[in-house]
Amino acid sequence: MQDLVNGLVQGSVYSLCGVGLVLIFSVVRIPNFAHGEAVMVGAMVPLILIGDHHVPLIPGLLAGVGAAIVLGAFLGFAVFGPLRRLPEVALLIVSLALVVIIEALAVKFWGDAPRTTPGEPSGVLSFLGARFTPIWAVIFVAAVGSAIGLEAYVRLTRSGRAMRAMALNPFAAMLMGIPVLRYQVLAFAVGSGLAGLAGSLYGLAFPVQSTMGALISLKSFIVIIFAGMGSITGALVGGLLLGIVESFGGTYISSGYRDSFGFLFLVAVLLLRPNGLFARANSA
Amino acid sequence: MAEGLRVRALVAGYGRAHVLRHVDLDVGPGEGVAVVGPNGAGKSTLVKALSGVARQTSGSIEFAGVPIDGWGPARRVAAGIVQVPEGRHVFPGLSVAENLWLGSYASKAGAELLEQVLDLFPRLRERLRQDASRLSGGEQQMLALARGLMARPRLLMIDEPTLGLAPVLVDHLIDSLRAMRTRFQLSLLVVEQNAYLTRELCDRTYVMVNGAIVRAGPTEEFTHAALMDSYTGTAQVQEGL
Repeated sequence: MQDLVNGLVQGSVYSLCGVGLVLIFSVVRIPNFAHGEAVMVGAMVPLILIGDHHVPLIPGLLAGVGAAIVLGAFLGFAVFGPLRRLPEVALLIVSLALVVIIEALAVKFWGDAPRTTPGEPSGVLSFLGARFTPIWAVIFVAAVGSAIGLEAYVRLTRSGRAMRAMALNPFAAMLMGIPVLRYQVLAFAVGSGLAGLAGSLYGLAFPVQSTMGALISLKSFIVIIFAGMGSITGALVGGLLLGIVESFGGTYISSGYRDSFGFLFLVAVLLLRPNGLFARANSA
Repeated sequence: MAEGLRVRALVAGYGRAHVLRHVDLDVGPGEGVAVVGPNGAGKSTLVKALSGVARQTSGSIEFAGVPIDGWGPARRVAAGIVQVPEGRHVFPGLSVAENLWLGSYASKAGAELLEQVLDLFPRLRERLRQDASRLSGGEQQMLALARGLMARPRLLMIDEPTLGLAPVLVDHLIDSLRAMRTRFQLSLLVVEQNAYLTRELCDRTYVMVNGAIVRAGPTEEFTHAALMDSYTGTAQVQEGL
């Protein structure tokens, strides 16, 4: 039971990142490997503000989310705006380059020692024999809430529908008069904001560092491949599943190979369900 | 010509390739204009350049007396220049109703316009909740037109509407287009191979070969023989004609 709860919390973080990445990837078809850097910024900004400059907890966390949103909007507008007509492979290389650049800058300014953001609310909750802290519960609720909220947003609002139209047929979306660059920036901002939220909450419960982004990007891609590209609820479930697989693998097989179980699981899933676990019946 | 579309010496294409070579073209208010020509002549590129999707390198485009060169696609749609693309491009996985609401993105049109549009296309009314990708080809063409109307166009540009349609559906389409035109007082720019449709709907015809307009005149002048003559007379013979 404890393993399950551990896995669900770790998985909630993956879900938040995955849900954000699904939004970016499906709306603008850019394989944004710099997504994990938004998580890192979301974790490091509160760490520095709260830990070193004694900013109160909530404003510190919000600053982390805000910084991730700014980073996302900047990438969506200034980097991928002019480049968006390039082939996907070129965009992939650009996003990999961004990983290196952002990480190097972060290490230069913030160092690369793993630290935990101080100020985690104290107390221990227990549920069916498993023990966890309040912040773990917050992380889980944030992941589920964001996925449901985002799903409602893309289905029910004018701007959400416009983004869905871009995901389904970018050319037709343009002919409907949908301002595609504006929504590209919005998708990057919202997706990176969710990643930043994941990072800022994660930093309260676990050690974070400037070099954490690349591995999280990879895991976010695992999540959305699980989910079968483009499904928000799929990304939620996929993230939770990845966390659980890692947690059980770490306990019962070997904790040293914790990070590899997710990749093994991905290979297994792709062998059995090449379109992902939650592939839509007719994704044209 | 203050209300219509006025194109002068338009050069446009993709990247560095120029597909259109100094195209002059006018569409008056309420007028129906056909653009015909062999495959690869640049007809679709013309429509895309007018939509702001293809790149314009020189020349001028005026709509309702306002120069619109350099405007993006979104701004042109908001101004009433709406394209119904070749191949329909309905949104798969979304219902007919959702497709129509997306058409109204720029116009923010409400239920009233939707009712008027559905009156023209009763088949769509019966299928509002159905997945658009499951409609037949003819129904998808109807949906693409209806979706275009939801943008409240003043100039509707339709690219190859009869492509892949059975002859009986072409008749039906002509009726719908004629009703649309009177109901919404539209200017029409139709790219079409089907001479029957252009004769029924268009007052004037432009013939485009190799990216240039080689002939223009009242549609009734363009018999099949005259068209063949323009395709082959002024430019190289295109393969397959």
